[in-house]
Amino acid sequence: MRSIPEEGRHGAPARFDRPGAATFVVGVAAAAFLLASFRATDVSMGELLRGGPNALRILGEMFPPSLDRAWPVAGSLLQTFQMAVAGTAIGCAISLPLAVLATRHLSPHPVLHHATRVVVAICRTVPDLVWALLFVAIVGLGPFAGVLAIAVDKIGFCGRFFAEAMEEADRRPQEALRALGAARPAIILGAVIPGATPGLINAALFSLEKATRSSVVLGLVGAGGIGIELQVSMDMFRYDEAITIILAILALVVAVEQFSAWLRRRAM
Amino acid sequence: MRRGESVIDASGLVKELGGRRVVDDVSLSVARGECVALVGANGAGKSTLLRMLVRLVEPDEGSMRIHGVDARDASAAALRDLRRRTGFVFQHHDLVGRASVLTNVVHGALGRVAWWRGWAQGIAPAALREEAMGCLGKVGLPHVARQRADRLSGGQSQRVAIARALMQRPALLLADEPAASLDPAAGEEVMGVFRTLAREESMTVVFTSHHVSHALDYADRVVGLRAGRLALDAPVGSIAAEAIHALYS
Repeated sequence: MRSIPEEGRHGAPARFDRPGAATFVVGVAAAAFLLASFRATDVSMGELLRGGPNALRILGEMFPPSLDRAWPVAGSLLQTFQMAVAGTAIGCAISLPLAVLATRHLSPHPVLHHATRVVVAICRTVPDLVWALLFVAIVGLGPFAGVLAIAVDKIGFCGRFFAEAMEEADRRPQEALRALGAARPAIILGAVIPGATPGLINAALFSLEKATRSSVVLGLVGAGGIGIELQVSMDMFRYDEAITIILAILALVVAVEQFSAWLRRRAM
Repeated sequence: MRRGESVIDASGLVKELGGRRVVDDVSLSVARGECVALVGANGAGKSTLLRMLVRLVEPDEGSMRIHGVDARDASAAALRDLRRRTGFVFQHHDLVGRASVLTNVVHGALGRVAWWRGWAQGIAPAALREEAMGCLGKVGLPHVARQRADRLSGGQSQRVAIARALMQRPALLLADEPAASLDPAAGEEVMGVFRTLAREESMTVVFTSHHVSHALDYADRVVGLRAGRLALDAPVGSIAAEAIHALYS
């Protein structure tokens, strides 16, 4: 084998680039903040290990699951799902016109376009539990507060994704309707919404799944649903009832996800 | 031909795109009932010129009267009315794929009926649905009325696009490469529909095409563009195929 002449040899480059001064400082600051966060939040492997026997005791008390309150639990579970359905329906219905205003080429004015985007972003950024606290204060305890909280949260989610679906809808049929003298509402109903339908269905089904999960925890702040049942069972140390509720929630969430996946396949 | 009988009367039209004049000082007059083929190589400005006539592309310079109306200075309402009276058939048909064929044809009436009555066949008045079925009959496709538009063949899809244009009750039909995305047989079929409309219903038709044979077989007059400028304008009987071929060299 011929050896490579000395002048033709090239050394391999360094495995890693040397970080710049700014990258180094930011890296060190991020690492320091991470360590400070562990300390400030009492993260401790020892505590976790010491809690092990407690976990085993609670787990032992969970089985066999208790069916003493099966009917009230079933009723609350149904109410939880109904909250999710009602909240999602209201949220989607409001999201549709908002999404039109938030879609650049459909909005009647750029100011309206940006204003709508801001409203939708606020609905999305504030957590649903905060909306629930607010609506409990406004309309009182109960599932209606939960429905309103879910609806506002869905406006944030669907408003954005409906608008994206409309932005991505094929523009050519829209131009064809414009070319034959159709008014803007006719173009939206006749070409934009049919073109965006797969995206709209996708977003609506994802928001139903998300609403089902969040409606479970809304009960913890008094906004109706099965969350309050779970809280009472945990407070009364009735872990056998709690596991029944947890399994019921799991079954509901899985069922909704499966139904939504089936519907999505059919609709596409 | 008297100017008063012109459906299209355009003068000195100019359009610049990306620093290039894609339509350069083009004047065109088309009489009522004429069938005109607009030919030229890719980028010659045919589609831009056609789109300018209904202001889907705004001209930079020049004047144009369509149906006797000053199209350049038309108000929003006047422009809508002008577009309503001008059927436009696109190269890629541009139907609403997820809607039924009948809904797509009913859409053709959206320029002349209230928007809430024509955006779907399900809510359209019975008279509108019947008229749409009549338009489908003219293109030989009444049997596909309930099918989804995206399940049609290319030729069927283009004929539905023509039916949608007919639903406008247009005095002028513009067609941008109507046969370009079709196989030869479907292309001939579609061009045959245009010829029937022009000859039997005295409709004014302007179509763009790359097919010299389409221009010679189906048009009364051939207008040729080269690099955005008018290079040929003559009745079909007085020009040889070579003159059209020369536009592509």
